[in-house]
Formats: sequence, structure tokens, C-alpha cells
Amino acid sequence: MNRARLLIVILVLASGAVAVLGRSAQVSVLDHQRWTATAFEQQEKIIEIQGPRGRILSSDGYVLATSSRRWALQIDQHSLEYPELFAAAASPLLGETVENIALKLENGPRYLWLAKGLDSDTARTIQAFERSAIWIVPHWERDYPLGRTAAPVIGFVGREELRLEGRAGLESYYETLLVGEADRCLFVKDAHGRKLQLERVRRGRAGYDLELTLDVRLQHAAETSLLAAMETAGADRGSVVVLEAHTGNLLALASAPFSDRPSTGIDYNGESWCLRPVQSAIEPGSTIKPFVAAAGLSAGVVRPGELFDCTKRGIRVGNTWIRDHADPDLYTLDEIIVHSSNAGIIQVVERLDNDLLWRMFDGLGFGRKPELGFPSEASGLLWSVERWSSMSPSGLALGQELTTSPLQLALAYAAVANGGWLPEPRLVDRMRGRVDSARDRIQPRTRVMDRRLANRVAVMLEQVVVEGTGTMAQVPGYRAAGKTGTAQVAVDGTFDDDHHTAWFAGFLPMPDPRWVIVVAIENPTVSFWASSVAAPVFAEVARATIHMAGLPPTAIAPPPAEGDA
Amino acid sequence: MHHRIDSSLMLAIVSVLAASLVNLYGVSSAVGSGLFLRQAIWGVFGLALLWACSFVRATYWERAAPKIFALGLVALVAVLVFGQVRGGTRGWFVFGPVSLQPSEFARLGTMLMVAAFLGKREEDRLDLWAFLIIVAIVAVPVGLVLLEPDLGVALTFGPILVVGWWLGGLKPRVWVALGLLAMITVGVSWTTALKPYQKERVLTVLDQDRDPYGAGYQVRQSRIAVGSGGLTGEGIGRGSQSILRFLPAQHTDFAFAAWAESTGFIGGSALLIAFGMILLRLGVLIEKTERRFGLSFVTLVFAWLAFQIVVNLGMVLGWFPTTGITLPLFSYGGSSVISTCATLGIVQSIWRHRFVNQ
Repeated sequence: MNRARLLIVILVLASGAVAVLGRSAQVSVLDHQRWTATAFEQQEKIIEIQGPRGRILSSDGYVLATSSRRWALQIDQHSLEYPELFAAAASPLLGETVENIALKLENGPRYLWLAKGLDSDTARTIQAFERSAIWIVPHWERDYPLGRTAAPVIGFVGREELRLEGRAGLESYYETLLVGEADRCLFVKDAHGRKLQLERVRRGRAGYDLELTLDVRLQHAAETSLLAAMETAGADRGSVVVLEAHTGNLLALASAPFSDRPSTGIDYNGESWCLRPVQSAIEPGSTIKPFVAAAGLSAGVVRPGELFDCTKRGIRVGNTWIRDHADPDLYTLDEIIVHSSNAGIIQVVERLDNDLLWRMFDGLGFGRKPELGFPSEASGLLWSVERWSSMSPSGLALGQELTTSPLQLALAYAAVANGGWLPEPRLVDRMRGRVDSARDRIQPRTRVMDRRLANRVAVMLEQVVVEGTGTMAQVPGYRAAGKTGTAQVAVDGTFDDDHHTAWFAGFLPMPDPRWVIVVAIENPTVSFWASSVAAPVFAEVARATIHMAGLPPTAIAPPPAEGDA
Repeated sequence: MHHRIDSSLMLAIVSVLAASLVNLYGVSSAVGSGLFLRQAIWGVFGLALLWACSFVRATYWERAAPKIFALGLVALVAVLVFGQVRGGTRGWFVFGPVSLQPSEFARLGTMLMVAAFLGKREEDRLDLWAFLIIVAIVAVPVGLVLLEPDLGVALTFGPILVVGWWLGGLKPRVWVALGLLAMITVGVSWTTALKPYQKERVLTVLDQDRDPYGAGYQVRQSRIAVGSGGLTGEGIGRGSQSILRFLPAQHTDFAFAAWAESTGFIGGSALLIAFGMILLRLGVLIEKTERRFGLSFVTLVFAWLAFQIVVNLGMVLGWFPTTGITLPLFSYGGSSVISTCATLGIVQSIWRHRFVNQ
């Protein structure tokens, strides 16, 4: 045996050993960070588990929307040993046929969401069938205990995997506040993708509760009255707004038509999920006349006791003859409003400077979003003066050349009712649990009218209800004020005689009104006159409002007067 | 005159066996706790066998070599008929709770046979006949093992053949010719004989991120395990790659990766030192022994162990493709522990009877 050859072998081996040691040092020590990171990457995962969504409450304490805990079943198909047996066992608990479950298992992905919205007992029972293959994951279901009441205001949620997501109404607008913050959990998984250990690394926070200004009892009364009136008038759409005149708080927002919430949160009819008082803008018709009168008074273009000639059952503006439905007579400015004379108001508006008229409307918030805090608020249309034609002032005076949402009209009427302040509308009173929610309680308002002028207009409007077109809006025992409006609706750019909106906008109790109520009933087919279609709804809702507030009567109930248009 | 057994070698062997048990205990949550107890029993039995073998005179082993070799061949034939299939390989006799892998024992017989053949020869140069006889001694058991088929074990016969030639005194120019032949064989087998998955394994070594979820998966997971161990390790039974079962074959082929993950570079180096000690003591023995049979046998054992250690560690550290070659005395496996202990027992016997005139 050659000793030198042996030495070579030992040297080769020794260098091999050094190489192995070096390599092992490189992997273990030098590249340690990198390999540890790689290990974490494949072994651990962060997931988010949503907390409960904030509730939505009414001002009178009713729960309009709440969340309840449910359980979802996820199956790891690779670990499921006896799919047939499982399908048969789970079928009665899930209320699905065995074939249906088998089909889901067959066509589904490896990690299959078999069922959602289960209660805890059912979920745990099913999990016990094959504990290694089935996980139960908590999630939240949205419940609306009062069903359809205020549904277009509240809106609804859809689902993104297990996460709830607001899709319409307040649920959508206040999504970020309602949703809260998810728990962040770290889970450890093994090579077969099985989740082994769950650890919360950051505690989440439940969503904030929204406390609305809505009064559910009044909301319900308004919805009921609206639907009944629409039925009687053969109308297809309608709105009711009840607003606190001084604060801008919305007590009721009724909208029709509306439907049940879509179960999936995906397919829904946009028409029935439109909150018409906020999201639709239509011609206000004669309800706009008091503001033209106010503009006339503030500009000093009407002498006290001046009479306007309204005897011709109409008036010529340019080349157009505008009809007047008021009885032919000589009217004072007050009587023009009381009898809603078209000829009279046009004579007033013709004396006014265009800019002044525009400033009055603009000041009252027409043509601007009221910033209520709701998706797609309507801003209405108010053309700037440069775009006006020679017909525009009379068109505006008749409420045909601008559009407004019922909410905007209610705010403008509130300015008359409260002595000249335009309030900002509020639907969400506060967010429970939110520190800075006190800031939301500051209620800015803008003076848009002199106090005496506002009171003067309010007196005119009271006369409308006492002896004019609004007698059907009378509330026995209380002094109400308001104005009718029968607007023609522009269809394809022209007004026709087939499509109308019957309006009534008013407030009570005089002389210090607390509530503004606006009613709009669109496309009535039986009778289209506001005095008979909209005014009675005002009276009903006003009675409900008074009842809710427990207000004692302030006036001797007058004998029922006969109304005329 | 009796000599004592080599206590340094003994200490190294016991250390590796003990580390193997600690490692199995640590990975028991992933591979089951039963393996620890079984391996402990095999280890005790193996050490007893080692001790017993060391008392038998070396000359007896030389005389008995043909019989032991023949017995191994019979077992290899029998296992092809009566054996049980595991992982696609018909390589195990199963007697109740005990299962034996005859290929591990046949390797010992082959080494004895080659050593005995070389021990009888007087010449310093290997003629064609002797060359072919060595080829035949190795080829018969390798052929039978390949019929099972068990490529990993068959490969461990490779060093026996090469070292057999070398000890016999093969001429340098034949080495050159054999080297060329080997290269051609590799080239041809690459294009014809190797299965696609085997090629993928080789290519993965060249480009380590080639297929991290396919052929490269095992090697990648092994390196992640070794790498996340760091200097001091994650602790016995705390290695996340092991517990979460990302590490494949963590009690057999990749046992060292599990060990390195839980004990770190320090633990891994300690184990390597123990293996180094085993090889060093074998080297010293080769230096000291005077008898031709003993020298040949210990050199064969040395080559076989070195080959298996290097190839296994190379695989764990990402140098060599996955071949199914285990780490002797450390990877789980009763037959492997028993046959390795018996082999080292014979080595100890040779140590005790290393002088010609005793």
C-alpha cells in the first residue's frame, strides 16, 4: 500500500469537509435572514377578520340596521376523506339536497366556501363531521329589523367574499365609518395548506353606530300617507320631507316606489332604490311663487296695497299666451299668492332686475347640492343669468324653468318659516363612539332673508291655507301655512298637459313654525290638482308630526272650509 | 495478545446515534413518536452487535466472507419474490413489527467479498481477470438491487467498485480509459436512460430556483430549513419547517436539514465533527493495519461511508441532486443502523487483530 496515495485521499476528504462546513456556514449563518424570511413567507399569512358593522338607529331609539354573527364553512377538498358521506350528513343541516352538495364539491375549487350565514350550532355540528377538512369562519350578516321602513334612506349592503360592503343609501355613504377596522390575525399553515394556529396581532374596532335624526314613527306615517295618496291619485312616484325649521334636522324622508332589499346586494332596480326627496330634481311649479313675491317686496317694486290686473284669465309674455287658473279679479300681492295667480306673479317678476331674482333663488340654495351627506344628491337646475332668454323670468316665476329636489324646496321654505335662515340639512345626528362627533353637532345656517320679510311671506302662506288653494292642508286646532304647486313636467324638452307634479310645501304651527313639510306626487292620473292631491297628504303628515311632538292645539278649530283651486 | 477496541471511534459512533435519537424526538410531531422508540431499540441492538462482531477474529471474517456474500445474494433474490413493496421498491422483508432491508446487508457482504479477494492476491497490478472478478462481485448484487428497484442503495455500491480497482492496482492508463468511458456513459444515459424527473433533479442543482414547487421543492425546503436554523438553531422540536411538514423525508434523507434547523450551525458542525472523527479513525486504522484483508476492508468501508456522507450532505445543502442516499447512523432506518454497526464491528475486530503475528 502506497502511503502517499493514502495521504492524497485524506487531503481530498479534508478539503471536502472544509467545503461542507463552509457551505453549511454560508446557508445557516450568512444567508440566515434570507432563508428565515422565505420560511415565514410560506409558513405564515396575515388575514383580516371583520368586526361588527355599526348599527343605524333612529332618533326615537329604533334599530334600523344591525349586524348579527354568523358562520361560514370552508372545506379543504384535499383533506376531505369521505365526500359522499359528508354530503349525505350535511344535507339536512344545510337544507340542501345531497346531489346539490355533491355537485358543489365536485365543481368547486380546493378551498370551497360551502355555506355562509349559518348559526353557531349548525356550523359546529357540520365541522365535527371532518374536523381536519372543515373550518368555520365567523362573519356578519346585516339585519334590518324594521324591514321596508326607511329602506331607501338606509340602503343595503352587498358582500365581498365574507365582507359586508354598503351599496346604496347611508350604508354606502358612511361605509368607512360603519365598517370599523378588521382584526388582523396571523395564521400558521403547514405544507398541505392546513391552517394550524390563529393569533390576533392587532385588535380591530367595531364600526361606529349612526344615530339618525329620523323619527321612525313619523317616517312610517309619512310613508303610509304617501302610498295611500299615490294610490288614490293613480300616481307612480312621490316624496315626503319633514324637516325641523330651525335646525335642518330631517324627521322623515319618504320615497316611493320602493322595494325589498336585494338578497345578494347585486341585482337591484335603480328606480326603487332612488331616495326621491334627495336624489330627484323636478319642476317646483307654483310653490316657487312666494320667493318671487319676497324678491318683489325686498326690491321695493310693489307698493303697499297695490292691485294687479288679473282679469284676463292669462297674460302674454313675448309671443306666448300663459293661462291663469285663478278667478279673474284685481289682486293684491298677497292675493296673488293666495289664489296662485299666474298673471299676477308674472307682472311682479317683470318689474324685477334679473340679477336680483337670481340672487334670491341662489341664496335659497336652488341649483346647489344641499350637502346632506348622501350618495348622488340632486342639485337641481338654476341657469345663470347670462343663459336666460326673455321668457326666463316668467318661467322661473311659474316654477317651470328650474328644478329642485323636494329637500331643497323644504330648506327654502324653512328659511321663510324660521325668520330668514337657510339651515343645513342633517340626517345623521351623531356617530356613537366617535370622539370628534361633537363637531357634527354645530349647525351652521345662513341668513338669506330679512326677518320681517320672512314673516310677511309666512303670513301670506297662512292665508293660502285659510282661504286659498291650500284649504285641504288645514290641520284642525293648529295654524298651518303653505303653498300648492301643480307643475307641468318637461318630457323630452317640452311641457305637455299629461305629466304633472302635485306639490304642497308648508309649515306649522304658526306663528312660530317648527316643522316644514313638503309633499310631491308625480304623475297623478286621476286628478292632477295639487290642492286636492298633495295638500291632504300635508295635513295627514302634519297631524302625525304634531301627535309625535305632543303639541297642544294653538288655534280654535275653524269650521271646515270649502277649498278651491 | 488482545488489543482494546478503538474507543475514539466508538465514542464518535455513539455520539452520532445519540444525535439521531434527539433529532427523531424533535421531529416526532411531524413523523410520529413511534419512530423514536424503534430507532432507540435498533441503536441498542446495533451497538450490541458491533461489540459482538469486534470479538470475532479478523481471520474468521476473511474466511467467512464468501458465505456471508452468498447469503446476501440469496436474501436479495428472496426479497424480489417475497418482499414487500414500499414507495415503489420491492425491498423489505416484514416480520410482524420488524422489517429488514436485505440490500443494506448485501453491501456488507460485498465489501467483505472484495476485501477477501484482494487479501488473497499477491500481485501489485490488476490483470484483466482480477478486474472482471471485482466487477462481477459488485455487479451481481447491484443488478439485484436495481431490480427492486432501489437506485439510492445501488449507488452506494459505486465506491466499492472503484476502491476495489484502486486497491488491486489498476494501471493509470486504464483509469484514464475508464474515466472517458464514464463520461460517455453519462452523456448517453442523459439522452436515453434517465427519466424526465431524474433529469429535472440534476438540472435543479445547476439552477437552484428552476422549479421551486416541482423537482426543486425538496432541496429548496431543505435549504430553507438549514438557513432558518442560523447559528444556534430554533431548538429541538421547535423547527418550523419540520413541524409544519414543509421539510420532506425529514427523518430519512433530509434528517440533517431537520437537525441543522433545530440546532443551527453549531449543532450541524458538531455532527460533522463526529462523522469526521469516524472517518479519521478509519484512516488511522488503514495506516496501522498490516494485514492485506484488513487494510482492503477498512479502506472500502472508509470510501463507502465518505461517499454516503458527502452525497447526502451535498444534497441537503443543494450541491447534488436528490438521490435517496441517507446519512449513515443518523437517518432513520433499522437495517441501515444494524448493517452499519455490524460493518463497524468488523472494523473494530480488524483494529484489535491488526498485527500479522498475533
